[in-house]
Formats: sequence, C-alpha cells, structure tokens
Amino acid sequence: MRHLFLYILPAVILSAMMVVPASNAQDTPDTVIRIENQVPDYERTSQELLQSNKEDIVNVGKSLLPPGEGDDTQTRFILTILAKDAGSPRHEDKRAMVEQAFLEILENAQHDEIKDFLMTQFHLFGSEASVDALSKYLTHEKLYVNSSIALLSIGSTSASPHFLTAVPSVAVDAQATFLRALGDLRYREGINEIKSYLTNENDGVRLAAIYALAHIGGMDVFETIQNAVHSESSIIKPQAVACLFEYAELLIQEEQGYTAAQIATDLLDRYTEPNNSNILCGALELLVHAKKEYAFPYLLKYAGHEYNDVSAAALALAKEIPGKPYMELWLNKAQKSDAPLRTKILTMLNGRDDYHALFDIDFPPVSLDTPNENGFTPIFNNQDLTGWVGDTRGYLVDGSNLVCAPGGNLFTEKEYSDFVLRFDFKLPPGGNNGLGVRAPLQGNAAYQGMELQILDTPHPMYKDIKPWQAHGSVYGVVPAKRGYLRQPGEWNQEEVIAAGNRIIVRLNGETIVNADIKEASANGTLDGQNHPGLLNKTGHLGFLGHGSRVEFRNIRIKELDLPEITETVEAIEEEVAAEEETESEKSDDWGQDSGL
Amino acid sequence: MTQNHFTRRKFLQSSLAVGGLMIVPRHVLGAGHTAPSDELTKAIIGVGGMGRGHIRYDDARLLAVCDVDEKHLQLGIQEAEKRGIENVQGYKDFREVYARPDIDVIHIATPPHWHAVMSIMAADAGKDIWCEKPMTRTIGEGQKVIEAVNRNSRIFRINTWFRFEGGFYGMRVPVKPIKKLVNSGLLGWPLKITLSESTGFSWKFNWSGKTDLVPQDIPSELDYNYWLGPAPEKPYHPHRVHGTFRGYWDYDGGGLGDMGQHYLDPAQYLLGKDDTSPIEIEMEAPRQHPDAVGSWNWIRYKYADGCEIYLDGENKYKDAAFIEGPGGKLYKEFKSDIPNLVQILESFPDPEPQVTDFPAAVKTRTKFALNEMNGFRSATLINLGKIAVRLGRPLQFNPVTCRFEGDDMANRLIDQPERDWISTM
Repeated sequence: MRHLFLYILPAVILSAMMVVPASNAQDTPDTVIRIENQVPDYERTSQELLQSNKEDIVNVGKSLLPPGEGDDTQTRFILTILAKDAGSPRHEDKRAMVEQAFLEILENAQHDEIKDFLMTQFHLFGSEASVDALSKYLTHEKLYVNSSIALLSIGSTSASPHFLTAVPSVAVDAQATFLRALGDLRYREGINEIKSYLTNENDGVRLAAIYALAHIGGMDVFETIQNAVHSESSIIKPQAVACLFEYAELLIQEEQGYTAAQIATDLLDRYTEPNNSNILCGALELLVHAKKEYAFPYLLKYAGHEYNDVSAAALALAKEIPGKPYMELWLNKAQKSDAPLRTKILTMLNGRDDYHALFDIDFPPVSLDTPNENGFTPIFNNQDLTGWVGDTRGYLVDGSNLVCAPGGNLFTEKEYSDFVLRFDFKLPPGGNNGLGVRAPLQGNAAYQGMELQILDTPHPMYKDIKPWQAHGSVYGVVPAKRGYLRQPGEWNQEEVIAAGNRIIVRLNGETIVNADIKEASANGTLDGQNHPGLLNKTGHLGFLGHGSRVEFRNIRIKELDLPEITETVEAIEEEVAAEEETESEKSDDWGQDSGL
Repeated sequence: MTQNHFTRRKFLQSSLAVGGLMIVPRHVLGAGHTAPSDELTKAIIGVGGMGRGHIRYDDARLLAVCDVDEKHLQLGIQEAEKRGIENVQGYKDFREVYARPDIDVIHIATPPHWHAVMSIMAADAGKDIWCEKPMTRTIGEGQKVIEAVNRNSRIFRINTWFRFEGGFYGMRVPVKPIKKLVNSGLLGWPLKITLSESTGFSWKFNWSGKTDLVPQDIPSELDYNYWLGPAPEKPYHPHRVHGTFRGYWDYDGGGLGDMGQHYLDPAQYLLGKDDTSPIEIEMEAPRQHPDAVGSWNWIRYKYADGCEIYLDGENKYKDAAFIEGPGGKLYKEFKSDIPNLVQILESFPDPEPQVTDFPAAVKTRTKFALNEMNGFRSATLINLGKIAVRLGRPLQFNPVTCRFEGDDMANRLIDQPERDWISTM
C-alpha cells in the first residue's frame, strides 16, 4: 500500500502541475481550490502520510522548490496540512515522527526560503526535540525571526542559553527579540548579561532588556529596574513604566507585596504631572493589589485629587476594600467634603455589592407583632379562583396550589392598602413571575402600581440582570438582597409588609428588602423609568406571569390600620434643630417596638 | 397593638451623623457632576480611507494626523483643511503624537495588526482611545489591551455603534427593539442568531488574499518597515497594503475581520453575552493558505447555555430567521411569527440605557457603551472564527481562561509573536 502511495503522490503533484499555469501571480485561494478538485483529497493524503513513515514524508519534502524555480504550491499545502494534523490531539502518537521528518527536511534544504517556510510550521508540532536544530538559525540574518518564533512557541527553557549566546553577535532587531525571549522564558541565569544592555544606544534594545528583567522578576533586580525605568528617554518611558508595573505584579505573586507597594508609592510621588495621571491611576491599583489595608488611606486621599481621572480611579478601586468599617470611613470623608466630592463618594457607595450594609447604618429597625398567624385570613381558597380576576384561564388550581400555567396577570378582586401578606412559592429553573402590589387591573403593574419581583435569580440566564431585577426587589426601584432563595423546585416562604411608604420583604426568614419607596424614588427611580403608580395608596394584589410555571400556596393576608404619617424628613430635622437650640432635655421615650 | 411611634430622635441622630444627607439612589447624585469646560482634542493615527473618515467625527478637535505613507499623510492634512480645521500637524512616528500633553484622545485607524500595540502604548501614555474594528488581531492581544486600559484607567471605545444606534444592516430596524424583544422573554430561551445574506448581512468574501505574490519595489512615499510594525517581515507587494490588507492573516481576517465586529457585537449584546464567549466553535471551509485569507462556508458559535450564533457564508438557509427561540422568530424588518408583536412589546420596558456620548464618557470617566471589555468579547468571536477556519477543525474554548481546552496547537494562535519593530526605528 505504501509503495503504491509513493507512485501516486508524485503523479498527483505532476498532474496538478500540468493544470496550473506557471507562476501565476493572480492565483487566489479560489483558483487553488478549483485545482484541488482535480486531485485527490488533501485530507486523505495527510492521513496516509501520518500512517506511513518518516521517509515517505521526507520524500514529499524533496519536491519543495525555491521561489521562481517552479510551482510547489501543492507540496507546501500538503506539508502545512500534515503539520496541522500532527499537532492535533487526535494524532498525538504521530507527532514525533512528523517532527523528525520536518527536522530532516530542514537539515537537507539548500535554500533559505525553504528553511524559512519549514520553520513556520514548527509552532504547530514542535517540541524539545527541535530546540537544538532551530537554535542554529538564531544567528542567521533573516531566518532568526521564524526560528525564535518557533522556539518561543515551543516554550522550552532549554532554548534560553541559545538565545543568550546569540545576543552579542546579532543585529539590533534580533538582539531585542532575544532579550524579550529571555524574559518570556524567565531565564534567571541571564540576568547579568541582560543588565549590560540597559545602557545600549538602541531604544528597542534597552526596552527589551527592561522587559526581560521585569519578567524574570525577583527581588535581586528591584534596584536595577527602578533606576533603568526612571532614567529612560521620553520616547520609550511609558512602555518602560508599563514593564515596571508588570514586574510589580510578579512580585506580588511571589509574596513580595510590601516591595510592590513601595514601587507604587514611589510612582505616586514621582509622576505628578497632568499627562502622567494614568501612572497615578495604575499606582493606586497596584497599591490595592499589593497591600489592601495599606492602600485604603491612599484611596481616601486620592478620591479628592484634582485630576478627574485619578479621583475616579480611586473611587472605582474603593469596592476592592469592602466592609462596613471602610464604608463608615467613606461616609465620614463624604461628610467633610465639598458637594461634588460628597456626591461622588455617595454614588460610589450606592453602587457597591455590600451596599445593604448601609441600610444597617441608617434605616431604623422595624418590628411588628411576634410572627404568628393571628389576624391572618386566606385570600386563596385552595380550591378555585373565587375572589380572583384577570387572566383566570392562564392560572389553574392543582391540589391546593395556585399555578401560573403559564398565564398573564391574575389579581385579587379586592383592593388592599396596608398589610402583611404571607405566601409560599415554588419556581422552575429560570422561573419568572411578579407580585403586583397596589396595582390597577389594567396596564403594566410594575409601573402603574408596584411589582415585587419573583425570579430564579441564581439561574445563569439572569447573570447580567440589574440589582433591582433580582427576586424580591421592588422592580426598578429598590434592589433586594440576594442569596436566600431555595433551589428551583423547592417551596420558599415569603412575607411582604406594605405599611405606608415602607416596603419590607422577608424571604425564608431573611429580610431582603427594607425601604421607604418615597425616598427611594424622590428624584427618579434606579431604572430611569416612570413609575406613576409607585406611591398608590391602595390597589389590587396580583401575580404577574412572565412565561414560567410558578406555583403558589398558603396565600394569606392581615390588613394594617396605620395612623397618618405626614411629617417629612426636613420638617423633622427643623423641629429637632429648634428643640436643641432651646437646650431642653428630653428623655428617650423609646417604645419597645419602634414603628414607622 | 404596636406602638407605631416614630422615634424621631434615634432616626435623626443617625441621619445627622452624615450631615443630614440621606443615602439616596445614585442617579440623584450623578446629575450634580461638574464637567470640565474644555473641549477634547484628538489625533488620528493612520489616515488611509477609514482614517480620513475619522476627521469628520465631532467628538474632539483634531490637532494631528499621522501616517507612514507620505501621500496619505498629505491627503489627511488636506482633508482637514477642506473641513476648515486649521493647524493640523502631520507626523510619521505615532510616538511623537503620544508624547504631546495637549492631545486627549487617540483615534487608531491603522490596519488591525497595529491596533493592540497602539492602544496599549496610548493607554500607557495617558491617552483615551477610539480604536477601529476589529479591536485586535489576536485574542492574546485583546487581553493585553484590557490590562493596559484598566491599569491606566483609560476610556476605550471601538469604532462600531450598532448596539446603540443606527439601522442594523438588512434588518432595517435598530438593535434596540430587538433587544427589547429578547428581554421580554417572548422568544424564549436559548436563542439562535443567523447572520447571512438572507437575514440581511453580507460577508464580503471579496477580501481574499493572493498567493504567489512576486515581490515589488517599495514606493518611495511608504515606510514599509514601519507599516509592518509588529507583523512578520514579508516582501513588499502593493496587494498587501492599503486597500487590500484585509486579505492577509498577518494583518487582518478577510470579510470576517472587516464586518465581523459590526455584525457580531450587536449579536453578542442581544444574547446578553458581553462578558463571556462560546465554548464550542465549528466550521466548514476550504483549506486556508497560511498567508492569504480565503473564504469559508459557515461558522457556528455555541454558548454554554445553548445560545448560538451561526454565520451562514453560503447563504444556504434562505428562510432563516435573524433571531429565534422556542417562543418565536424574528425576521428582517421586524417581521415575526408572533402575532401583534409590536403592540405586545409596547407594554414591556425598554432596554437599559447605554453610555453613548463619548466626550461625556471621557470627561466623567465612565465606561462607554462599547468598551474594551465587551469589545474584547465580540472581537474574540471574530478571532475564534479565524482560528477555527485556519486550523480547519472544531474547537473547544474556555471563556474564563480564554484558552482552548487541551489544544496546544490552537493555543499557539492565541498569542502570535511580534517583530521587535522598536529596535528598527
């Protein structure tokens, strides 16, 4: 079979050559493809070569021709396909053989252009075994390029001494390439030699030396790198500084965070000109990576920096140091700052994942009667949709569960103002529904009334939702705390307290929303939409279907009878200010239960 | 009965602790920003056909143009003068432009093999960036751009815009109502998007390269070495540069590279995949030449959640919907198999507003709608397609590590080595 193949292959190439016009510079891949159709499938040829032996492949290589001496396009195609296939995981066992064949073809090749072509294939299948042969070409004026590319893609550290030895005797572009290679290969042993290039007259060579030291890393080059970078010419200084940042990040990985922090603070001191503001930004980030606790006072300081981008960077980094104690320090800073900075700090705090800790700081606690079922009446009779209106065909009763089949909006016939509502719900994976509160029977309850989101928030398809879209949120207005839902298919217990403008949602025992919706929407809502019905005093309760089979049960309600609260925050503040002026002492008359 | 007694003092004590200012939603505070009154300034690197188009953009005042082709440079300066923009400086070395403290924004309109290097160097020089598509030629470069932009806290945008404005090619409607439809859930999940002639998108296979180019003399006006920059040194031929560079893997990726980000970025946005990538890429294509870009029949991207993007290069499926799911389909001109779709959609909320004013984004240091993060992901779609087509086989990709699973050979195409052009200056 093998021998038959050897007869066919040259015939294939010969016949291909007969149909191809000689040296046609207008050839496009389409032309080549038409020719392809007239010869056996290259895929099969490659497969056959893989199954044969090294000699057969070397034989194919003999048909390679230098440019201008004929058309060897077919041969080159076959070799590139073979190279790709040899590097594929499927042909793991044939890779070494193909590699040896290519090495032999490379050795035998007489013409530089052919050697160059061959070397461009080594990145596909090359290994340690090719390092010595490829390294020979590092000192070749043209061939060093593809030789070093191949060596780097193989990534073997045994290439490093070859690169190092070649540096002194090659041209500047090769020198720079090899120095960078030594950095990429992290060749520690080359440090002293590399240092000598820090004073080279060629910009690219010096920068490559800095790059190399930065990527080799380690405490022993700390002084050298800093000096080299800060004394660099302006044309390559920005890139030299970039290398310094990379060096510092490596230090952090090597547990030298303190030194990395030193680099950062040194940069903050050195680069204070406006057109270096980006270096200050980078230094702050480096400081946070290097030593968080140490960085915090710098963030506080630079948040007020005169350069817009530096201040923005400091505030953006604030979230890397989460937690209530730090947020209180930010609040302190906000209080002492002028209006624009106070605005920026509070904006930052509002956008954080740990924002809910802010509720603990500011909102007064609310507690009601000990949770028992006194005073609760069912609003779903466990049997049918009596008392419910709207899309009664889209909902059905299954056992004693109320099921969204899926359907649209189903409302209580009755309206409610202030109440405690309790119910259980069960979500399918990705489940989506909503609880309409104080809603009209028509229109979009989320905007014409209020919607408390019912959603399988952890589902992957919701990973990009906004905070105010998570389960329990007052949709578009108040984001809910996440992480308290049970698995899809399990029953959850929810309690909703609507008392005037205060909305509280408790899920499986955890308070996930506790907000004053009037204050939350005082100058517009988080989602930027109109919510004309948000502050409705009364309206229907409803389940708002969004295409999922969500189930409900044990739906019961206790209506609340609240006194009118008319004071605004400002009015209260004024009153108290007046009180304090008269310096009259009032004893704390806390009730056991603080209300609204 | 509970004492619903408003405990004013306790409340006020805590509120006074912050100077009487309540914690309020962020948008309240955002409005109060004072913006600098200065106009932004810009320079354009690369004033060939695309670059001269940037002269028209009114984001900033043009101070400089830069090109390694003397003729293009002169054309650029003339174009500026024609538009009444005076005192525009011409440069050959973009690093001199970067060293100017009076330039705020760099527009990069060179061929793609330069995009990453120029973006990174611009960020390191403290400049904000407006970069042509595709964002980068390789995936590895894209990651490095993200690093540099983040470290330097720069504002970066790409020169495509369909995810937030404009009629979306043959769909004849903007992307916004399509996004609204996707968000509504009416189409169900997962979704499949088909990009083909039939759904309104052309893949421009005319951008193919030539094989067997016979080297020619370099014209005197062109610094070819600098044009190549980080790209491998190959003998000069006019077809490699200027109008036809898209035909060569060294610089770009044919029609996929040219139009890919215009088509794929909105597709990615519609599917909500701005921070991830497909896990499987399949394709069918003729053998690819190592230097010259050829055509391909189809490319399919599959995401972990089942969403799919299908590039139908042959236009085989004439009846394909642009986007479809278990719940319905959407065709060109917003036609659908869901009855009364437009009316039904009215009661659904609009998609999240996007940051679309670039000068404002620069001044307030806010990420632009199409930035280095989501732009990296849509450019990665292009680059994954290129790698699959060049290797001629399917690939498995890890969207978190941005590497191919157990596929050394494909991984060697993530980060393709670059020439040390600096030392040759």
